[in-house]
Amino acid sequence: MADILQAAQAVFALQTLIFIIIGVAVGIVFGAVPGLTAVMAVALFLPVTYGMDPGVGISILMALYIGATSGGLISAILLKIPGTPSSVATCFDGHPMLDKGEGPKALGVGIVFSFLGTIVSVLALMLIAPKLASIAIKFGPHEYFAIAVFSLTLIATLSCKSMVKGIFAGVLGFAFATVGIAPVDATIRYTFGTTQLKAGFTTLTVLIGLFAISEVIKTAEKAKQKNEMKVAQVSMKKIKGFGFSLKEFKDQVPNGILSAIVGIAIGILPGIGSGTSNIVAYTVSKKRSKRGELYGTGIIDGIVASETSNNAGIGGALIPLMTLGIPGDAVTAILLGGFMIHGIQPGPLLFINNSVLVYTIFIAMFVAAIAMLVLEFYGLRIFTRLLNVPKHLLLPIIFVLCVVGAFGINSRVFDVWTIVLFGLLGYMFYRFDVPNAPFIMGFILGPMAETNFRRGLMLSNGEFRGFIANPISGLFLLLAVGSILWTVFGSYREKKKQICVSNLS
Amino acid sequence: MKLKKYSELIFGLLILAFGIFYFILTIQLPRKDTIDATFIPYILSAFMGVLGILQLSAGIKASKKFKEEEYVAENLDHLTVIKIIALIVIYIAFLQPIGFLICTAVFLVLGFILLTPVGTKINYVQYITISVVATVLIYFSFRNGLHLMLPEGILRLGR
Repeated sequence: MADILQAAQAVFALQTLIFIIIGVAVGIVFGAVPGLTAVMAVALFLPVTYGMDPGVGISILMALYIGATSGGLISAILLKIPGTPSSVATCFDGHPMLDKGEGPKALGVGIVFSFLGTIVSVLALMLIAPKLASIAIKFGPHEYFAIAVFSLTLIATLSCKSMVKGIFAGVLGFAFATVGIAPVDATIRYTFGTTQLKAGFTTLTVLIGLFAISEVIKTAEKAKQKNEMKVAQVSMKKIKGFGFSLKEFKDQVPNGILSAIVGIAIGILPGIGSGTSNIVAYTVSKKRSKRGELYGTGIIDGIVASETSNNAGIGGALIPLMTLGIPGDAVTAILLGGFMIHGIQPGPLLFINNSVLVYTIFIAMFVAAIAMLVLEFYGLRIFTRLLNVPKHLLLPIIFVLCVVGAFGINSRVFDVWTIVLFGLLGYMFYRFDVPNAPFIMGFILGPMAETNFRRGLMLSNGEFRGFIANPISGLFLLLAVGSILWTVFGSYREKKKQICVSNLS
Repeated sequence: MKLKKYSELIFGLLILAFGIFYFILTIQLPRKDTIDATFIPYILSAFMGVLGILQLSAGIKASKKFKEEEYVAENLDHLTVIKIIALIVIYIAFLQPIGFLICTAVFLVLGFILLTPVGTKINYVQYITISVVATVLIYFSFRNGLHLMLPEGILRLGR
C-alpha cells in the first residue's frame, strides 16, 4: 500500500503530469501523421528521458505509446489513410461515416473506445502481470529457453506475404545479435577486431535505424512528387457529449468487450501487436454481428472493434514485457531498450525489487489514457491542422533527433553509424518486401534463447533431456512444435491472408 | 523494368551470400567444446542456406510468371534517395571533428532543400531560420537541461 502511495505521489507530481500530457499530445501527432509511427515517437523521446528519474522517464514513454496508438484514428477517418498500421480497420467504416456527414460521431466513438480499450487492458495488465511474475520468478534457464524458442516460432506467423522472407528476417536479426562477447564462455565473435563492437549492437540503435531512419530514406523516394492531402474539416463545436447517444454506447458494449479481449490476447503473443489485432477484431466482430453485412458502409461497430482492440493491445503487450522481458511488438521492443537505459531489467524480479516503479507505470497509464481522451477530443482541430505539416521540413529534424538519441546512449559517434547501417538495412527490407518486425524479434529473443540454452545445458550436465524433462519448458517446446506445424499446414490452406498486415509498429 | 522481374531471385542470392559470409566467419572462431559459441551460429548458417535455396526457387518461378505488360512502374526517385544517403554519411563523418552545431545547421538546410517537393518554392530565409533555431534549441536543451554533451567540435560554446 505504501508503495502505491509513493507511486501515486510520483505520477501526480506537477512535472510528471506535464510530461505525460506532452507525451500523449506528441504521441497523438505521431500516430495521426501518416509515415510517423509510435516507434518513432518513443525513439525520439528516449534521449529526453536519459537524465530523468526512471519513473518519470518511463511514464512519458507510456504516454507516447498510448497517444500514438490512438492518434492513427484521426487520419484513418479524415484522410482515409491509416496514420499507423494499428488503425487500418478504422478506415473501413470511418471514411464512409465521414462521407455520410457523421465524421464527428466516428471520431467521438473512436476516441472513447480507444480510451476504454486502454483502461480495460491496463486492468488486465494489473491483474495478470503480478500473478505471472510470481510464477515466472521460479523460472530457470530451461524455461526461458523454451519460451524464447516458442516466441521465435511465432515469427513465421508474422510473415504473411512470404514465410521464407519473414523467417530470414528473424534469422538475420539473431545473427546480428551474435556479434560481441558470447554468453557463458565469453568467446569474442564477429567484431572484426574493433573494441566498439565488443558489447554487440545496442538494441536501441537497431530499432531507431530500422524503424525511424529507414522511414526518412523511404520518404526521399517520393519527396519530389507533388502530393496534396485533403484533410476533411469537421467541427466538433456543436456536438453534445462525445457525439453519440447513450443507447448507441450501450449497444456497443458487447462488441467492445469482445474486441478488447481480442486486442489483449493478441498483444500478449510475442511479435504481433496492434497492427494485427485491429484487423482481427474487425473480422471477428463482423462475423459475430447480427448486422455484419452493414460493416464497411459506415456504422460505428467497425470503428469500435478496431479502435478498442488496438489500444487494448497496449496492456497486453506489456504483460510479457514486464514479467518476462519479452517484447510483444516493435514499440515494446523499444520500451525494453528504454528500461535498460535506466538500468531496469524487466522480468519477475521487477515486481519484487521495484514494485514502486511497477505501480508508477500502472498509474501513469491511467493518467495518460484520461489525458488522451480529453486532448484528442478537444484538441482535434489542432491535430488535424498538424496533418499538413510539410514533410520536407519535418523529416530532417526527426533524423537529427534520432542522431542525438543514438549518440546519447554511450556518447559515441559509433552508435550513430549503427543507426545509419540499420536504416539502410530497413530500407533494403522495404524494397524487397521483407517484414522488419521478425528481425527485431530475432535480435532480442535470439540471445535470450542462446544464453539460456548454454546455461541450461550446463545445469543438466550437457544433456538435452533437461529441456524436455522440465514440465514448463517441455510444454513450451511442444507448443513451439505445434506452432510450426500449424503454420506449415496453415500455409497450404492460404486462409491467413485475410488477417495479413505487412508490418507492425 | 528488368530489375523488378528478378528482385525475388536477387534476394535469394543475397540470403545465400550473407549465409556463406556468416558461415566463413563462424569457421574461424576458436572451438572450445562440442557445444560452444559456434553452435548457434552454425544452426543460423544452415537456416540461411535452406532459406536462400527456397527463395531462389521461388524467385525463378516468380521471374517466369512475371509479365512485363502487367507491371506498373513505380514512379520512384532513386537519385534523391542516393543524395539523402550521401548527405547523411557526410553529416555523420563531420559530426565529431566539426561539431554538432555547424554540421546540423548545414545538414538541415541541405536536407530541407533536397526533400522539397516539385512545385513548392524553396524559401531560403525560412529554411535557414528553422535550421538554426532547431539546431541551437536541440544543442542547448540537451546540454543544459538534459545533461547530454553533443560533440562540440571547433566551436566551444556554452562553457
